[in-house]
Amino acid sequence: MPEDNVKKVEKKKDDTQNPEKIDNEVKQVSEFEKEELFDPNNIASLIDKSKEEAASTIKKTDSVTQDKMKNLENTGLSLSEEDALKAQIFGCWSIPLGLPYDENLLVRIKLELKPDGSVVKSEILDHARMNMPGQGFYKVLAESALRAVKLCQPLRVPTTGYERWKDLQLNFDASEMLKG
Amino acid sequence: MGNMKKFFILSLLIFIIPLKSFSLIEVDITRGNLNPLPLAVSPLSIDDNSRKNFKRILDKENIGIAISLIVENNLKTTGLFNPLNKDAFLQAPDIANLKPRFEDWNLIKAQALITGKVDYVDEKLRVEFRLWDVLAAKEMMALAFTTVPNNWRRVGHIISDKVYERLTGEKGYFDTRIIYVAEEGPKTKRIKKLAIMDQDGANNKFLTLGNELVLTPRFNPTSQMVTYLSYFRNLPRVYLLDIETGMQEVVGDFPGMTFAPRFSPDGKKIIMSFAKDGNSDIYTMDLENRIVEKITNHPSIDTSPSYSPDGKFICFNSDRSGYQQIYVMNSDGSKVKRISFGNGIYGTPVWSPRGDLIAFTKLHKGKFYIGVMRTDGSGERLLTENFYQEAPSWSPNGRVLIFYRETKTDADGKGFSAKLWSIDLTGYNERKIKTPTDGSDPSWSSLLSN
Repeated sequence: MPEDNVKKVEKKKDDTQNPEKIDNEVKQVSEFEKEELFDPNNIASLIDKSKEEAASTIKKTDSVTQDKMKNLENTGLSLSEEDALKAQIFGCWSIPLGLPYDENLLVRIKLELKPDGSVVKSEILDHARMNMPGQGFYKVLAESALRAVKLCQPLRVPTTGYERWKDLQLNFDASEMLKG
Repeated sequence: MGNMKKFFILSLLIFIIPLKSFSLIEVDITRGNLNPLPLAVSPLSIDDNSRKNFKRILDKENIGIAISLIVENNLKTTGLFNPLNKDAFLQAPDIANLKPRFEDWNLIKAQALITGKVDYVDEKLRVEFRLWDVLAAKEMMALAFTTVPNNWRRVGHIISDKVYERLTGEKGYFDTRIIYVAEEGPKTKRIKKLAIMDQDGANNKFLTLGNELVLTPRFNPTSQMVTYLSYFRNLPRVYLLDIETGMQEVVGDFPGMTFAPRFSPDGKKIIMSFAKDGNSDIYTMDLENRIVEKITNHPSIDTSPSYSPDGKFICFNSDRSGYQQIYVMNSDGSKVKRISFGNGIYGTPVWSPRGDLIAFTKLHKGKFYIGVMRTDGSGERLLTENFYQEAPSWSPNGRVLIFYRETKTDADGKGFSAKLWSIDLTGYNERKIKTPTDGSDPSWSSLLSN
């Protein structure tokens, strides 16, 4: 049964993931948070209470830090808020069924949200894994998670406390579903 | 001391700052829907001149539409994709291939889009296709192929494989063939021929005339060679058949009951069981020097050997525990270990090409099951149950099993049939494979192109 082989003559274009762009976004977010929430020098002073000259700095920064601490203590969504969000995303996430169920199938996506729950920015936290050889399944899973976020938006977020949840991390884990 | 303190503070900072700055709200998403991914397969666009040329050569009104239908059908049969109705498409194929209006495709709920173009170039078929992520509004893949026009179906299968791999993360299984035993006539007087077809049932061809009984054809995992068993003057004989050239070769005559020859993963040996001095054991034969080596040596009946894809292990049946069960051993026959312990009897174990699972047939309380278990025997899952079914064979990506199923004969001895079926690892996607006659003992080839 001779058949002429089909020749792959050209690869027109690789996939258009753009790691550089997303890497920049990661940096921006980290720097922004670092600047707003913490000043390493001030915290050093805060801890080093024996330093006389740092006392004023401690006082100056203490109030800011306390406010932030209050926020950090209250960061979690209430159970009903979390359930509402989960239920929405469950419906939007088409899990790719072809994935191997014995692999690490966790994709972490960090979102920056608008007050109405629409997504300003989404980034995959383990982005380097996307283009690693032998990790094709991770890329597929990450893309499916991004599709779910896009499909679902605006996300079902609480009506109050925007500062609390404007940055949100979704951990997509398919292993439970794929193991059956 | 001062330095020590600074060091201590710095150390604390290293740990404290990241903890605080990453105190994001985290929500774990552990469930999703298992619905097939909605995807649009736009007909491949074709200019008028190319369309006329292909109509003349292939007698196909529009080869672009024909290829896209193959892609659509392949993706649909996986159960992983839901190709959307073309009537709902708003954008013309040629424009969609240049630049899709993603909002239009979004409107019909497509999450992925396949577009493409067919050209007649120097008497050849040139096909380019693109895969788009509709929600992200970006191109995921673009490839082009050139081949002789008669290969148009294979082009459809290759596009399907590429799309499947890009969207699922594992290789496809569409550009493959299935060899099986075609059966005709009453149950007591069946005529059995070797037959081969594309995995979607197209291009069926009979390879033997039906004069002699043929059994258990098996593909070489590395090439388009097949080994099978036939009877010559009532003696079992193992054959090799080159599918490309049609050349056939006798490997050897074997005494007594001989069963199911199968290739080693490198294609250099065949492994089978046969009875010598009244005892059935497992043997290998080196295809170069024809040296036969005995692998098991036990007074029980050892049959149905199958290699692991790395060639280091063999799984097989044995009744050495009293009932037929599945065992795994090293490829030299050492360290035999029973792995099946469920109720019922187990047979026809086949190691997955992915290496993670062993498929089997199980008989329990009069019902036959096709199932899978991990290679240590854990995680047994029964995928399908029926009156009579057996002989699973893996798709090259280890995701789908093809097997055959027989129907019960009625009181008048009528109603018997044997058909090929496939089921995927979820156990939900069960399909009957269309064949021109009855069929049994299917074996799936490796990918024709990589």
